[in-house]
Amino acid sequence: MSYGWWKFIHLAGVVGFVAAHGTSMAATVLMKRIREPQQVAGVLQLSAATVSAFYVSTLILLVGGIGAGVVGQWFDQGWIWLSLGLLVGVGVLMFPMARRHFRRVRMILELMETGTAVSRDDFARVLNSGNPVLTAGTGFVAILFILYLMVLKPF
Amino acid sequence: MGAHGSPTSAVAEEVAARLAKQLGAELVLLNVDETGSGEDVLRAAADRASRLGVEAQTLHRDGAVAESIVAAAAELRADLLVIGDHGMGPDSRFSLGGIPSQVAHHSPVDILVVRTSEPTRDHTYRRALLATDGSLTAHQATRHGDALAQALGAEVALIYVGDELIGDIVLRDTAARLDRDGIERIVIKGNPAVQISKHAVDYDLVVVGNKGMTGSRRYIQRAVPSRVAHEAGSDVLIVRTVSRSFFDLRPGEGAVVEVDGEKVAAYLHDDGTAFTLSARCQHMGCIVDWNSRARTWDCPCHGSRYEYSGAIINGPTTKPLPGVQT
Repeated sequence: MSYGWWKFIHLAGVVGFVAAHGTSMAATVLMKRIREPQQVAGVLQLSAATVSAFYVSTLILLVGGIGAGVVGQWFDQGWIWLSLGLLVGVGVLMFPMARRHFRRVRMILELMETGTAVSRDDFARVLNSGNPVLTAGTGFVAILFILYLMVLKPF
Repeated sequence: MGAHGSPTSAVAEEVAARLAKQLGAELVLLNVDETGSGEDVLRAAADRASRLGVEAQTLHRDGAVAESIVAAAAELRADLLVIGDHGMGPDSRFSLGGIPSQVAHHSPVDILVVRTSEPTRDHTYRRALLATDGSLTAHQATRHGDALAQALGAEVALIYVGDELIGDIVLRDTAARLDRDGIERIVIKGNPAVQISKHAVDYDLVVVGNKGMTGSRRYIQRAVPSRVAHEAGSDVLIVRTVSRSFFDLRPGEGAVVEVDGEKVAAYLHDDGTAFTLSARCQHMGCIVDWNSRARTWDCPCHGSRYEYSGAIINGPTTKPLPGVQT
């Protein structure tokens, strides 16, 4: 398969990744702003609905990127290794951060539904416990830096 | 109660007899062996129970020990299976071969694993530790454990291992559900099995749900209740909250049950109508939990919710739970 096709697959993966993961990033920030449990539950559902699309697009992005790197003979340059490392590293770093917050919110919503002693104050405590701007910001800066590495290929 | 004539078995028999007496329960002593000495073993065990004031029935079976115990518990529709922990120490925690371990994984009813390795140990249950992860099934286990503790006059403490913020809320809520606001609560970070086993030292009985002990995932990752049963220093009650039998359900109750090795979301309506659905969430395949308060099937992974009939209440799922013929 030609370099152009690998690049196309890679970029298609990027589009899917940004669409799916962008939804989760927006959900993380939105959850902090809206305080109504039902609305938060709706945002959480929207985020959860993109999970499978996120995993599939990440796989496509990686396969396409690695394929393009091999065919284009980029793997003797530093930028592609740094991009890969950054994607994996930031993913590994952000996954537990985001997952913990989403789990907390999901759990408190479930407890508000089924429990007997869970208050709005508890809900507020949980919503305030996360730092969505830091989480989303870290991811955004990392994506921007990867974009810089891929477009400008500085080393 | 599984009896096989050894000194360690006698310890478990005594615990079973004392529990039967305190709870006013029937006691059935079961022996499985092919050596022909089973009747003598059972007679001796029944005599010991009689000396404690309990007239026990006896039952002898041939065949594979673990399978026969599990089958007998199901046939008798027992409420509780009592078994000694012979071969279940921390060193064997990676082994799935021991008889108590096999029984614990396949028991169709609640199972009490009695620490029999210390003959001098007093198995009177004065303090019970109820473990919860905040899930709906864990709540069933705590409710069950609390009822037993109350019947035995034991003090109760709750433990949650994990996120401290959520743990604080979960235990306050659990205490309120049990109507025990002043109860001791332990919230601690770390590995659930390790921490529960560590805290078990201060208690006579630990109560956990059986989530994770059934299904193929147990071969990949040792479930918390299984590890606790192997590693805790106290007796362990494993409450069957997952993979119960359909016949255990009461009207208005739902549970994930096992039918021919498949997980089925089963609900028995107040009017006697039975609903049997696939227990796999149609979003990403997680096993749903029964929400007894709202009478819904809730997915713990991404929050999809279904009516008891399987119809969608909310996503991310876009498909209802399909019906299953049983």
